[in-house]
Amino acid sequence: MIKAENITKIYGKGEIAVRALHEVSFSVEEGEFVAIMGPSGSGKSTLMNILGCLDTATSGRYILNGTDVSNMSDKELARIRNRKIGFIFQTFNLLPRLTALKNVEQPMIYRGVRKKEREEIAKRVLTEVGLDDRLHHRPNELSGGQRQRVAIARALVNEPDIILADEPTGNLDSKSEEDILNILRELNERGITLVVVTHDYSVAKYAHRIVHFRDGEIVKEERLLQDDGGGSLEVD
Amino acid sequence: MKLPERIKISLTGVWSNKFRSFLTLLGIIIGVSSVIIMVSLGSGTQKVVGGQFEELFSRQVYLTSNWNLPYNQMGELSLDDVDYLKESMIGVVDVIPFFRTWKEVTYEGREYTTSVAGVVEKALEVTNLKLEYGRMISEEDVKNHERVAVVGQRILEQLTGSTDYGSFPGLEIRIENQKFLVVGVLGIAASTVSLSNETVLVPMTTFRDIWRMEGEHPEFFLITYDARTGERDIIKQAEYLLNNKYGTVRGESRFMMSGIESEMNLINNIINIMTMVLGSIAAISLLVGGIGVMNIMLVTVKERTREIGIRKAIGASSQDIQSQFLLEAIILAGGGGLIGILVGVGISSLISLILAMSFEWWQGGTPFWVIFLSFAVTTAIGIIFGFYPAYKASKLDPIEALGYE
Ligand SMILES: Nc1ncnc2c1ncn2[C@@H]1O[C@H](COP(=O)(O)OP(=O)(O)OP(=O)(O)O)[C@@H](O)[C@H]1O
Ligand SMILES: [Mg+2]
Repeated sequence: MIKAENITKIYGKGEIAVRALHEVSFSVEEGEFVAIMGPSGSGKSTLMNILGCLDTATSGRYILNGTDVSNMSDKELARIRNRKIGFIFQTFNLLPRLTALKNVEQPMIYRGVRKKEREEIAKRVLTEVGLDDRLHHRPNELSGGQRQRVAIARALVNEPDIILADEPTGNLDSKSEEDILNILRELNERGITLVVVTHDYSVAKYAHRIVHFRDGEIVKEERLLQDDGGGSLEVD
Repeated sequence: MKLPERIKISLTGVWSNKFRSFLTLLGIIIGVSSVIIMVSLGSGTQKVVGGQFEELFSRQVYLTSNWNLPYNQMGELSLDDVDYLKESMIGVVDVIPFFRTWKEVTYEGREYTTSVAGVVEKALEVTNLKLEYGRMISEEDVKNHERVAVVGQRILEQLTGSTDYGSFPGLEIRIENQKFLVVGVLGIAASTVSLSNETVLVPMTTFRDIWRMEGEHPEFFLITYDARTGERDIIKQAEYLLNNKYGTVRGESRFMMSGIESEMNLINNIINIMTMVLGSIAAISLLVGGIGVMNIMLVTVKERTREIGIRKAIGASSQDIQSQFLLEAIILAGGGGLIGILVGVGISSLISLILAMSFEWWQGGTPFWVIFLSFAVTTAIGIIFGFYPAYKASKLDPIEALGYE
């Protein structure tokens, strides 16, 4: 599904250049749930942005679903972000002036789905994340957990191949965190490939695999054997 | 992504800052309304220039004493001048004299002071006065010094207290104790020679019999001329002949003449000045308006950096973003254009109304092309001044935009 080879990302030039990623090779299988952990500044977000086609690597190759994304045009990248990838942010990133329903409709507008169908899909997905009674609320009228559920619905509407979540529960209390985690796990059980960045082991333990970052490099990978709720450790 | 969807997104953007948008648009509104007013007033003279005027009415010159001179140096016309001018001038069709005085008109004890004109039968067709009921003074009346009068309906209204105009012919009125039989009623019609529906017309001969002093000199002549001759030419000839006969005062003629062309020249001069002033206002305000649009769009792009990042993250291409903000600029400028068109049409209709009251020949109106042009120009302003901000928005890096506070 995802195959990143020797990805290096350098921010800035000369004296102030920061090497955020160094020759990282990283792959994700279809249907897999991968957690990425590591200290602050270790390059987790940088990798996620590259995987999400929001940013490009300084060097290295990134193959998404069999196609090389490294040298694509702006328009092609936009199309991939729109249809293949669902991105979930720590800060939700909803459009503040639009209702939950409208927010969820936005990706479908760029895909060219007609209004009536758009509304139907958006309602259905919002219902799936338990927000059928909050369709016409704006983000500032929703709790953090509800906002993140809107964001998840938005990430889902175009039926992406993969969902990338960068600290999706970082801004939430433990109750909301659990709700969001349950939704994500359910999605994964339905077959959606999932990559989640987290600082929290209680989040990561639900993954099939945990990838540890330090100073822009992968330092450790653990594979977890999942049975119901919580994994046991099996070190590679 | 389809155009209606794009427009909807951009409209939401403009609408969310209604008041700010409106302020930004003032420049464009002022600019466009200036253009509309300018063109509408300019077109007011077109009809005359296009020769759509009533033929005779447009081909006449008004000749009277030069009121700019001191009383004792002013020229005084005489009836002999009618034949003198008619015989000596080339291109002239007729010279029609008008005598005039102010008199008290009475009927059954009610009185009304008004202007009384001594005229020949041809006076009606050259003055644009409208005979509403009865008949005009005839050639016979003039020849036989008849005591008949054609009276403005307004006067009769006042004297009889009735508006049954049809019953007025046949009434007997007195003009300064002289009995006259009303034979016709004048209706409402603007005239170039200050005769109106508040005037009494009597045969010239009768007038001169009764009011010897006022009957000595005609107040003015109307000179009509043929289609091959120009107004300037007629004025020059008449001036030359009268100067020859009466002499001049330090080179200045004792008489003055004017025609519709000279009157129009005056209006044209005023309109030209207005055109220049309004034209500059329009150009400056449109430029300022354009810069305003650019400024507000730059602010908008800055404010909505995060929105741009989000949109890019969920699948908007640079082109989508660019067209979103370009459309916003166009909607903004075009909306200003629309308001400007409304304001401009409103103001110019008002001015036109006022001018039409003063000038019979005025035919103002806002031509359709200027409305379309204004709309096109403001749209173009939106495109030109919106392009850079929209381009800037489209080039924002999604990651940086998402991180923008
Ligand atoms: N736009 C940028 N310009 C310069 N340096 C950057 C930029 N973005 C990130 N970096 C640097 O790259 C490194 C990796 O950052 P990144 O955001 O990927 O860390 P992270 O693992 O997500 O950290 P956190 O857990 O705090 O989110 C950091 O040293 C950071 O300072
Ligand atoms: Mg991060």
